[in-house]
Amino acid sequence: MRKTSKYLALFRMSAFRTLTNYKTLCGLSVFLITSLIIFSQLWKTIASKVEMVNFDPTQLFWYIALNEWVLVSIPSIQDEMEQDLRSGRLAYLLPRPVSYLGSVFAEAAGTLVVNFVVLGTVTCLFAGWQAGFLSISFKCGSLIILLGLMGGFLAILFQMLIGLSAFWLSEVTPFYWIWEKLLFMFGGLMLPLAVYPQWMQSIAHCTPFPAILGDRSFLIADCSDSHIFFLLASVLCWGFLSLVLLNFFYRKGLNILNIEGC
Amino acid sequence: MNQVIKIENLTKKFNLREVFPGILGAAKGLFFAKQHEITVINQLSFDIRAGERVAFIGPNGAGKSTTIKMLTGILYPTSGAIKVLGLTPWTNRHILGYQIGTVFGQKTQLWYHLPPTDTFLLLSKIYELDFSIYSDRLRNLIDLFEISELLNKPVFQLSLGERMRCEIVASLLHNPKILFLDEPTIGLDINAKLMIRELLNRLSKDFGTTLFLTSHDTADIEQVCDRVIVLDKGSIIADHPLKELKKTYGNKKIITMATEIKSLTLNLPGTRVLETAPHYFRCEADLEITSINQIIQTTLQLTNLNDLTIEDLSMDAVIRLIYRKKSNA
Repeated sequence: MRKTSKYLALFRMSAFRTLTNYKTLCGLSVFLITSLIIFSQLWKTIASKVEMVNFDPTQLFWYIALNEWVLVSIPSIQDEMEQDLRSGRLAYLLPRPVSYLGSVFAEAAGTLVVNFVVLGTVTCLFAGWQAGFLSISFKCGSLIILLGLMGGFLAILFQMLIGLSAFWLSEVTPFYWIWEKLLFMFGGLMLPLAVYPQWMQSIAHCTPFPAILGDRSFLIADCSDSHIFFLLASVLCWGFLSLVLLNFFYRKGLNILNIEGC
Repeated sequence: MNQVIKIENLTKKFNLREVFPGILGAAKGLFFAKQHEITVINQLSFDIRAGERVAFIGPNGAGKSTTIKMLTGILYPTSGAIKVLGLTPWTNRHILGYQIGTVFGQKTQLWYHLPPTDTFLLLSKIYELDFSIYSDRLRNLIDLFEISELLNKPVFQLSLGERMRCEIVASLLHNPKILFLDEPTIGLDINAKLMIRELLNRLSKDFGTTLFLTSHDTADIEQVCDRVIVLDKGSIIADHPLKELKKTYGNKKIITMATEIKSLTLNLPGTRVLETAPHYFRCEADLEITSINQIIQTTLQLTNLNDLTIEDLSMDAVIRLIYRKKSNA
């Protein structure tokens, strides 16, 4: 119990810090609204020219909004990890009786949850005002929130993997750019995955990106049990795999500290 | 007294990657990696008893910080054995973490954006302290380190001296049996240094905490420690109680004279001129070769003296002497 309470304390501290840093939250909200306006205009034009998936204009706006909501809520944890690793601060944190990866995740989760709640409110109000409110079931609405959070946690785990690459690379930003662009493309942010050719959809579903963004937002159109099951299984499998990879690369990285010095 | 640290034949080697110079070198580096092995710690052995205050000193690159990192479980050795409080640090790092404290002068362990009071509370959770025990302990430490006015300022607004006092409090909250301090007074002004040294002394006296300190400032050693281990190129070149160290090298004195004649030349065996100026002469005398009496009598034959001071070697000079002796050997 006490072991969990230390991570909860880190989570609370980070959530409180994010909440008190209201200027950043205001900035993120403005960015989110700007992105929604731009993407919705873009998609309206595209939708009139190509036959889009069975989305009506309201669903289309909400699909974009739900994607952007999760995307903007995810903290840039990889930069902080890069700093810890490159400055050698990691070595000085190790003697504490707390897992480094656990503490990084707890702090990032605290930020994510506050961002998610605040930006979720902004998203719902703005999307409701612009496109009207969706008529979805309570179950579907709850799942959109729950799976959005889970998608955010999954993205944090993968971004932690990018952060760990600082053990080997002098800069992790190029790696992050690649991750971000793939997330846009295969996550269904730029276009719903159903618009893609079949072979691209198959590739996308072999990656964690749809589970983080598009597949979960697609719940507004398809809230069937099979889609929910597929989505849940996808998040959990990718979550498990990322945890295994994190542990593996973290151990390898600590080995480098021992061989090359810190 | 119990041994709290035991090190036997400790060796640590690092593989350093060499970078080829220039653009072509960078391209070459993609395909060919050049590495060489360096020995940072070489067959180190010593032990420390509970309550001792040990200075672990040496020039840059001597292996002080690497040794501390191995003692705290951050690094593991290439060979040899370490026991800290009966535990092997790198295999029991988290268990050991509850019993030791670390202060690194060059790195902050506090959350930069939080006020110290929040950091302390967070650390109490990390170290799994009961709230009542934590409150009592914090109250004592706040009084001892006089930080009540700093508690609610964010860490980035604290001066270096204030931050260091908070760092030490943070590392003592869980009542560690051993406190490792890696250059705790680096960059501090003279008042802050004095305060930190006084606090470390009180800490050792009041709580019996074992102190293991590295520093380039010999005043830290003289004012805090009772034993000195001198390291050079990864090996111990001296390990003495502080008093004994001074006694061992106490056969040297610094003699400063204000002379009536403008320039004094003293050619006596066992004396080494340190500084000369008009009407001023300062030398180091090895009393095993020349007595003070002999030096003064010889000087008086050459000139009258307006002033005369005879001092023991400073700790700085003692350390320099140890290094010189080692390099001559």
